Amino acid sequence: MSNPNQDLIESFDPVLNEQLTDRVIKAREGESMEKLAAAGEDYIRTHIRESGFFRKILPPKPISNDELDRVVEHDRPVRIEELETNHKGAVSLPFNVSSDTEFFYGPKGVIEFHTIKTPVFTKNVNELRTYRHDIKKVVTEHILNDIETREDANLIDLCNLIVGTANTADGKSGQVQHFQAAATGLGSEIDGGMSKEVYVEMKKKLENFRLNNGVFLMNTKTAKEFEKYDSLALGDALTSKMYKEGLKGMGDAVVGGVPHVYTIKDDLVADNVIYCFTEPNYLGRFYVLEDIRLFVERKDDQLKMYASEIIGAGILNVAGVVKINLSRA
Amino acid sequence: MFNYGYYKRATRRVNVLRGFNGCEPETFTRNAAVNDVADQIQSGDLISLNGSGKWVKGAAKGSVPYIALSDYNDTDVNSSGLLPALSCAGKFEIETQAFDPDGTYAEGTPLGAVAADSDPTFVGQLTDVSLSTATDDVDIVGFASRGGLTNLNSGSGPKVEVNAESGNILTFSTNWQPARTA
Repeated sequence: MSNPNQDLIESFDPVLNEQLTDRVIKAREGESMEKLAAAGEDYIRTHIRESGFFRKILPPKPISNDELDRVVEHDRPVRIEELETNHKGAVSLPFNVSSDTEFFYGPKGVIEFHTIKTPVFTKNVNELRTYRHDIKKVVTEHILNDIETREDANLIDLCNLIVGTANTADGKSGQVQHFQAAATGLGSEIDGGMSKEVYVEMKKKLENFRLNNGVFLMNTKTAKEFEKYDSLALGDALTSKMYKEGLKGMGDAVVGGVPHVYTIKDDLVADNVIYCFTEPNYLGRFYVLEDIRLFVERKDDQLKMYASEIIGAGILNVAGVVKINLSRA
Repeated sequence: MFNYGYYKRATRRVNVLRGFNGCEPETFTRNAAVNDVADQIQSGDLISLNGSGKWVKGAAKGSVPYIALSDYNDTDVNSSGLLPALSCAGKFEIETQAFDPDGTYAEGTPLGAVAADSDPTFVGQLTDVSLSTATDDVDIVGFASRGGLTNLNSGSGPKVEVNAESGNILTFSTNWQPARTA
């Protein structure tokens, strides 16, 4: 049986860097995820891995050096974003009267950049001689998932900071952005699990800030609550389909007109927690200064592999995210 | 951690509802150097000229009160060395963030400067003065208008003041009347 890691063991080619990087980027674009998944046939997997959800909430945009901004304090690149200003509304006036003067100023926010890097995976090539599965496939898949999971964790940390304490007006918008049913459940419009009634209340939260619902994020266990909806809620056809197929029976994961993203990462998105995000252009920016790159290096019999990317992101409109906790406090 | 939010001032910059005509000479403005940057004059503060012709916070009895148009550290102020202000001897209707929050500002309430010997934190603010003493012992800077106090961000829906943390303003018409007694 030929060893799938032969190129790493004996005839390491520097071009491999580019080939592997290309493979990762294609995997991110979805082109070869099936191929990566197929790599599992060579070995027994221990748990499910998943690509990132942040990129589905705030789609990344490449940014060139020309689009970066400078600041006088340091050499690091930043991007200064302009936000929409606001002002007093129009007024009704009698004839021969002018309206008031109003000075206006455009708010500006900063996006700062940082690197996300995987560990440096190190292996003695001689130890690879006995491997029967393609280590490149495994590493390629893992680094992609690890990097995107880091992005997701950064997003959730940021969201939790922005929304503040449950049912307290300490969200960064100055208003309540984190809603949770009271311990007794009384007086709370979001008590009662993910019922139809509660769901409609959730959809109103961002509208209080005059924002549209963009994406709702929840874990797959929370999403399975949809499977409890009966035929009165969903109709016979969809109920039957979901009974057979589960969440896949819903089709495109759009509920009440709002696209949903389900994640298996319950360490980031806890059970019964839903993050409601507004539409990307009302939320913030996600820039990719340097897309993911894989570095493979062999020196003597030591093989080292790691990957990195340089990104900058931010939720500049802090009213654009709301957290719902369906569990009672 | 990713970034969030955007730069906001603590308080709103001054807004001139009536009487402002930009750079036109008929607008009663005055430009002078800041006496001490440690005073940290902010847009909307009540200021006056000291004996050296430089801006200081507050206005002593008999000194013409002005309302700062810019911050002491605005780049054009730093660069030119001059801070522009509107004279309260002119006719303007102004929204300012610099007022004593404990004051009472009904429509037409006469306004004066917080005394110079007060807590330095409050010097440069407007405060309410009683009519019995207003024309005798203290200068009147102007009169509260449009109900006096307003929180621009108190309504439902999007905030009106998006550039500052606080949307609290005092609206008043300038009408400087020096105290009768020295």
